[in-house]
Amino acid sequence: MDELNTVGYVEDDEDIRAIAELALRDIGGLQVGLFENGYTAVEGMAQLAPQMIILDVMMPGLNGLQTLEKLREIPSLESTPVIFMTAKAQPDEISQYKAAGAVDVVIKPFDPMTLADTIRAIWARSKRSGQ
Amino acid sequence: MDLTQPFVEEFLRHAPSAIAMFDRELRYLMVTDRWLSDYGLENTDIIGRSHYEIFPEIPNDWRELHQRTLDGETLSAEADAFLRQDGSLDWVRWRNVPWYEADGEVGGMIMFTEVITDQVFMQKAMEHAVGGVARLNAGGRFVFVNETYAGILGRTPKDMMGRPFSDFFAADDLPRLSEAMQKMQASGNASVVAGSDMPDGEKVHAEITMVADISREGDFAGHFSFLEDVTARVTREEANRRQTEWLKMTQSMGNIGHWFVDFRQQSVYWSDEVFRIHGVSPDTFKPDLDSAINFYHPDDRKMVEEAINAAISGRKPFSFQLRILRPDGTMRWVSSDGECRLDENGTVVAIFGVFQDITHSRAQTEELRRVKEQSELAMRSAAVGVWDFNPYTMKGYWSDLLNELLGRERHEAPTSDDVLKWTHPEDKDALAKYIETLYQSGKAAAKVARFRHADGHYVFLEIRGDAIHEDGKVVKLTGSFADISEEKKSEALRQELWKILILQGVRQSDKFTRVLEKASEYFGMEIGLISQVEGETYTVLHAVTPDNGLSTGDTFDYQNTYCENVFEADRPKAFHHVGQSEIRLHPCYKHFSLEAYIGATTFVAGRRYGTVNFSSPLPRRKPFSSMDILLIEQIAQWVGYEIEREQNIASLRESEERFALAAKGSSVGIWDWRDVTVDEEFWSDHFYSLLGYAAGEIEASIGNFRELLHPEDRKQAFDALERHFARKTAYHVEYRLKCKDGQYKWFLGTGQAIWDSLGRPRRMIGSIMDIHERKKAEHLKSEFVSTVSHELRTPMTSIMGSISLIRSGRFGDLDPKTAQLLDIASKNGDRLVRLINDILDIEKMEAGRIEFTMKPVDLEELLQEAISQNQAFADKHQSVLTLESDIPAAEILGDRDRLIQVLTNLISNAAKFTPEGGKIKVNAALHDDHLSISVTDDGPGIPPDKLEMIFDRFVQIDSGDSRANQGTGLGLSISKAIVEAHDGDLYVDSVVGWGTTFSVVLPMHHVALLDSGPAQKGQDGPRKRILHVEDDTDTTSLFRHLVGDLADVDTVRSVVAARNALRNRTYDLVLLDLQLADNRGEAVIEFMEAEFEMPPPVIIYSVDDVPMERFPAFVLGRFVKSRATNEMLLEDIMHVLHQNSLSNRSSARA
Repeated sequence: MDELNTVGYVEDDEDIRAIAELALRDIGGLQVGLFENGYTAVEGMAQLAPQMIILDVMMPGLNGLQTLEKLREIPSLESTPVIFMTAKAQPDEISQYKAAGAVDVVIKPFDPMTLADTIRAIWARSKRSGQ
Repeated sequence: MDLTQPFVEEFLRHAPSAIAMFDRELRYLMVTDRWLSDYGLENTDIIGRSHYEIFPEIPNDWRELHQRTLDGETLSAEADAFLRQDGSLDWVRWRNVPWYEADGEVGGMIMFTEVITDQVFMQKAMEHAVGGVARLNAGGRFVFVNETYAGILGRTPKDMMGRPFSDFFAADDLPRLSEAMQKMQASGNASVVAGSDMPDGEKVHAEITMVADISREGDFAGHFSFLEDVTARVTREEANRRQTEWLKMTQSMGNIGHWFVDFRQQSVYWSDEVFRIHGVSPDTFKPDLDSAINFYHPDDRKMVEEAINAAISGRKPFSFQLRILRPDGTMRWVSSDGECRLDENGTVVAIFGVFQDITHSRAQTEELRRVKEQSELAMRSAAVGVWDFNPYTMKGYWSDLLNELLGRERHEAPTSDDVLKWTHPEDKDALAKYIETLYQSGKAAAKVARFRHADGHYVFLEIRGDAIHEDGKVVKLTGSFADISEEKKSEALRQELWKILILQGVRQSDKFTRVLEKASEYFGMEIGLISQVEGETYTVLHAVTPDNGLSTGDTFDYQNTYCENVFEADRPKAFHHVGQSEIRLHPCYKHFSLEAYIGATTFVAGRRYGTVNFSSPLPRRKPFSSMDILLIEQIAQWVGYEIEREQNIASLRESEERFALAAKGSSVGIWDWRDVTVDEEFWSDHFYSLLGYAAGEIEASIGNFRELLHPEDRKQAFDALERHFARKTAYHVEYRLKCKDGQYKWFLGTGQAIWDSLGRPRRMIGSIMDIHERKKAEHLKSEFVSTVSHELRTPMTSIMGSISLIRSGRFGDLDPKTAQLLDIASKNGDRLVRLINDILDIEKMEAGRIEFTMKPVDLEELLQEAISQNQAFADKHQSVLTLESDIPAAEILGDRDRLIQVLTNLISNAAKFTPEGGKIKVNAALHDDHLSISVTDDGPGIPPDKLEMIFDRFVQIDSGDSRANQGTGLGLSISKAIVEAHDGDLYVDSVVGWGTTFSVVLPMHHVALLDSGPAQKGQDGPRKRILHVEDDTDTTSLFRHLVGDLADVDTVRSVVAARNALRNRTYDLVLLDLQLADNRGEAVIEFMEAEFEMPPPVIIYSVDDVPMERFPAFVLGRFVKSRATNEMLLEDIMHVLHQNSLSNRSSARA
């Protein structure tokens, strides 16, 4: 699988979810599975079987980090690359996300016009480095 | 048997043997004449009397044997010792035969004896020596003398037989001989050298070895005497001793020349001084036996010749004066003294002499004698004696002074045996060892030993010695001894006083009282005073008097005290009898009639303070010695120290009280770690109360402090402590301590250690300050800002995203008006996001929480990037943005993104404030000690009065241009903070109407110069080699994969293996994990620091974040495994490998 086709996106903010969907699907041409919180993600992500997962951090219930932890418990998702897309992106916070296993962090606000390209670049890099 | 038969009588008289016939009661019945003569008896004396009555000394075992014969046994012995009543011992061959009455009963016995003493003796003698041997009876008379023995003494055995030993030796030596005999009787043998005057008038020296002859009963039966002629040796020793002493004496005089004539070598030696005396140079004149005489005044030549010949034939020293005629015609009067040196056979082999020019001062000879006498006098008055010891005879002699010192009423000089006898049992071995050392190595430090005085006490003598060598062998040990009992007593007192003065917990006045008492007793003075002198007033500080006649606070007129003499003087003063001294007119004598006085000045804090003195109304019997002077000086010094110490303590206490008072008012708790090697601290009351404890409620200790520390803060706190101890860095740590209620509170801990001269920390004092509220506020603020910015960004994401999507036209075409409005919305949305970012940055910078990732950044590339990122913005403002062409080839050690942020801010500012068509130039220039990057515009400039405030927050210069209000007003202050984080500075230079230049100035330690363009990865130079120290196999294989063929990688898993690898191979880089299975990875760094002058660069790649300050400069960077991407790591590694200019600067800190 040399090209990124399917991504799973977990975001509690409905507006951002909509914008991101447009950015990734309409602008970026990706297939996007949307989840409105950690629980639904843990339930449905395996079925989606995305090549990449994008997680918001600040979410009610399971936050992004907790969601990642749960997702990693699912065998088919244990090595799926994960990106955090968040407005909480101070350097120490970014370190924390990477320590938790994120391949990269995309900072909000993001530019919907270039989001898909960014995601694709990150995906390509993560493939190259074997992660 | 009829004994009256004439033939029997005849037989008895003439029989050649000693035969006696006894009855059963062992009464003599008859004896042969030989019996009588052998045993010195008269016939009439003994017939009818008991054998045992005649010889009561007959031992019991013989008596038993007699009884056996009376019982019918025949017994005999080939050689049996018979100890005579006079103490002499005879060796006897005997045979006892019973005789029988007619009835067959034993009537008695017949005893056949033969005195064989001579033969037996010879046998014994042969066992011991082949030289002269003799036997003496218990009375000291010769009973046997062999030819050699008699010959040594110039006599025949016949001359000596039966005569006492003492007849044959010099009267001077008899005491030593009799002492040797006593020793021999006591211990079995003894040796002594004694002189004997031979009948022909010659004197012979003999070494006599005495071996006791002990009877079967263990009784002393006389002794064997072995004689060896040691005349030559003794003469030689005597001569050499005199020579040595004399040489020493003359050497001490100086300016005396030495010469010697060696007859064996036919050579003549002159010292430089002798050449000078003769007026010739050693370079041009070579003295020989014949040429020397040519210098002598013709009238003196005969005299010299005779004197020398007499000295040679008589083996005696010589001394004469002669005139020397120098080649230049002048004449010198010279005195010459010398001696012959003898070989083993007593032959003269050389003459030694000195020449002394006495032309100008013939009195010099007189002077020499005077000095000698004076030194002898001095030695006597200083109670210095001399001793010598002959290692061959093991004999030595000590001067009579020893008798005197030890109260021994004797007339003869003590021998080494006496000395040993008197030596304190505990010092005997040490003394023997001293002699041994002296003998073995030729020198030994002075030795102090105790010797028993006749009245039982011990006297301390200091013994010094020298070894006298001849032909490389020690022939004699000689030296001096001195009574140092007084020194020892003085030393003991000094130690006692010192102990008193250093006592802890004793009041100073009690210390002083004891010191005064002890010293008064020592000096034998009844009054002891410590005084203070202020102006004309002499105040008693402490006093010890017999009647308590003086007490603290008493004052005198200073001029009326003897101390007047002392206080201004540099030396202590002592008068043992004032009435007969130069101060007998002193008012103190008039007023107080003090006859004896000793005193010294005390100094406190380097200034004259008062005196310590002792006095007495009675004159002192003995004058004060130099030892006493030293002692009083010492006491005064100590008293001064003690007063000073007390004053210091008092002032310290005062300041501590002040501090405690001050500390109480603040929120500071004080701790004092008095001895950093001991787990014991002092915590102030407030320290406790800050933690909610009552004072002393828990033990003040480092151990407890550690327990109170929040587990997450322990490492940091103790690391800082260690750094402070080791490198004297500031100790300034924030940590949480657990309070009594179980809650953690934030404190700021500061402290300062005190190091000793070896650089070891001894004590540390510090404080804790309650910063809990501040920390709480900080945390809240940080949390607030972070949350607010998140909360603001989230809606902005939707707003900006929506606008962006609409503006893209992908979801329908826009009419121009709508597009313009969306542009406005977008622009202001961007601005709002920037504002949020800036506020967040400022907050972080204030909190010191901003993190910089310092890495080498290529200067030109950085500037290009900044240009390209801002090109669009400049275009928009219709500004011409250019990069100057001559950018220096250099790298900056910095945070690339943050530097771009600075440049972006400067460029965008320039673009915003420059009118259309304005020019913005970005340039960089190298200076001696810095690199400056400048952004210059040709805009309106900034008025001077505004220049200072432009770096302040939210300040925007009103330029009258509407575009100005597009900024946040935070950019410059953020930029300045970023540049400062690079140890640099941000300057502005502006001329109104001409333009503005902002300059980023970076110090050279953040800059590395490149020889040529950017490095080409892995293409230049030899292959590089990396040592990867890592125990996790996943990481090592990943790293190998990552590096691929860019470099060779050696992987080791332990500190030990790393050390080996580093010793065996040269590496261009070490990639180090700090958590290794066998040890801390830091151990590798420590090893490299210690082992290599130029260690290879190290990059740390580890799980934990570690502060770089801990490491030496060759540790260029560190990566935290979880944070660093492989690209980042590889990039840095390649940089270090191929940019040695940077790595060598050792400043790359990531």
